[in-house]
Amino acid sequence: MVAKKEFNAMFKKRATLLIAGAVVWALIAANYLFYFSYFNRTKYIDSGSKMAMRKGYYSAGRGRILDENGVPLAWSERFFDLLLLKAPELPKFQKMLDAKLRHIFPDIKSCSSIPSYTVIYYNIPPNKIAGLERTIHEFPDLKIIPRTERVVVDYPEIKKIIGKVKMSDSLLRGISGIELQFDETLTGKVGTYTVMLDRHKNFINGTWHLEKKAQAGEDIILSSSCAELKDAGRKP
Amino acid sequence: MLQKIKKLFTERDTTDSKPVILLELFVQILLLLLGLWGCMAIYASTSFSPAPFYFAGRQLLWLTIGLMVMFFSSRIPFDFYIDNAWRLAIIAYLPLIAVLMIGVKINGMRGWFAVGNSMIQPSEFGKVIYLLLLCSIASTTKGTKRFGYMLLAAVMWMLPVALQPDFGTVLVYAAGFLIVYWLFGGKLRYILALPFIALPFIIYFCMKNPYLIKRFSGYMNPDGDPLGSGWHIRQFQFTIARGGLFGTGTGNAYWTNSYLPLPHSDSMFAGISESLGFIGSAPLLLVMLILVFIVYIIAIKVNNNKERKVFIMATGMLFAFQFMLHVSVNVTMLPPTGITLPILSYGGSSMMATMLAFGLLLSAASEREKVNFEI
Repeated sequence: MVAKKEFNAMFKKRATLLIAGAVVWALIAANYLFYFSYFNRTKYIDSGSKMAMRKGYYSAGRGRILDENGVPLAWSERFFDLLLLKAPELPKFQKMLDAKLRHIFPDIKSCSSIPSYTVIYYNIPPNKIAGLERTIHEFPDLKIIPRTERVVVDYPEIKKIIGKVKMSDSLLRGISGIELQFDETLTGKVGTYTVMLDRHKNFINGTWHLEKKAQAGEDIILSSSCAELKDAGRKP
Repeated sequence: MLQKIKKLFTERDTTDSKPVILLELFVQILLLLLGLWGCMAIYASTSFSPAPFYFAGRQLLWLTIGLMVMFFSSRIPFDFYIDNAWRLAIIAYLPLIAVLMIGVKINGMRGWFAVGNSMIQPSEFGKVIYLLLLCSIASTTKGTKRFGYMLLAAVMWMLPVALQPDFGTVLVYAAGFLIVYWLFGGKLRYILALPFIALPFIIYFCMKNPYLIKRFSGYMNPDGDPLGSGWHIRQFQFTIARGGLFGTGTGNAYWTNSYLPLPHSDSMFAGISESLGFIGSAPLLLVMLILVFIVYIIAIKVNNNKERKVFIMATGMLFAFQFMLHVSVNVTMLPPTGITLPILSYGGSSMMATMLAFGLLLSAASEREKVNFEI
């Protein structure tokens, strides 16, 4: 009986010490919490924003080149491609990714046979982009990347006169022919935005903010018709 | 009213069962509240995913099953558990070995059995049986023998878990040993000698897993390698800072959803801090303290049975220790280690094991094999 009483007293004392330890710990933890959520909050928010916020540039589109009758000779088109940064390591996940992609694109190759950083599907139809959202979330190494291309009517003579463009600072810039001659008019002005990126460098929904609106490039109307341009292009 | 509350906490004998029943009820209500709090937090931390209710819905299911597990395990007399502690220990220990051979590797850790669409983590279920075993050993031995046998059992249980490797759970097992030994009247000098005994193991596992040292160096100087070893530390700090005092609101936890590692399990507390802010996350600490205090009262007031007393208190304290470890990592008091917030974090094994532990605690707290309760 005495031994039991002794044990009970010892137990109570030691259990009380443990409880006291838990209380002291809770006070310290609350202090840490308060430090980050109130005292030094601004510093950590700024550091976090610096890491996650990105300023991006976008163009409202390069102007078209039209002949004297208003027939478009060159215009810009936006396409979306599917890029695989890296195939999943485990065969189980490779199979899962293949099944999900083949559900949308039945003739796509197996991801296990594709090297890293490969575009696995060009020109995704708009109606299929929404269907990819869930798969991209589950497999962050899969990305939809936009691509703007300059399309010129399919006459080599006219293509020669119109000239070429190349992407520079998110804008298509003329490097030869009419594209270069009227580059300033066609290009327009670039717009800026800020967005928060996740750890896979994807945009986080709801964090996109427009900072400066882009100004679309102007169309230019040539003083010759399409036929005249073809004739001119044939001359050496 | 005050008198009644005072009576609740101060008076009890074996023939008056009401106070203990009410305390048991408090424990169950608090666990239910924590479970529901967890479901909401899981939803907040996965709200940007294409299926935001997937994890929260499953957790609600685990919570429901867990409550049933707690109810049924609390109905079985505690003597059954303690009499069969060794048999139960073998049943719980074998999967710890088997998982090293046939387990599934997730995030570099081989700690799960794949059963259909679910994963079972044996080290979670091992915790409660491990405590039971330690109590059983402690009650049948004395002095140095007690320390030696208990330490041997603890090392045997910790080794397979360390080989997975799951060092967060190893720490919980180590704490379980210390708590039981301490509450059974263990000698302080033996406890102080433990770091020296553990040193060769620590050196071996640090050499085998160099990331442990990297994590520590990242903790000491997160800016030294902000994209590597300092990454997790910084993300916890940024997440809590974004929550501020009042939180960003459920569904607006951008940082939790985008940057926190495993936001619905190992980073749960930081996620709650972003959604609900200081005023929504600090009360969790209070709820934990209240729960542990109630367990303490139950342990003090239970009859003069050493095993029951120690098991009750040790179960409560082990729950508190895991809670403290998780929160300490999330508020960057400690270097990062993967450990769930019991009851709140997503995970069927963790939920079931915690509920089973509290079921055994309630069984130990009752004397239904001796007294007829009026409910």
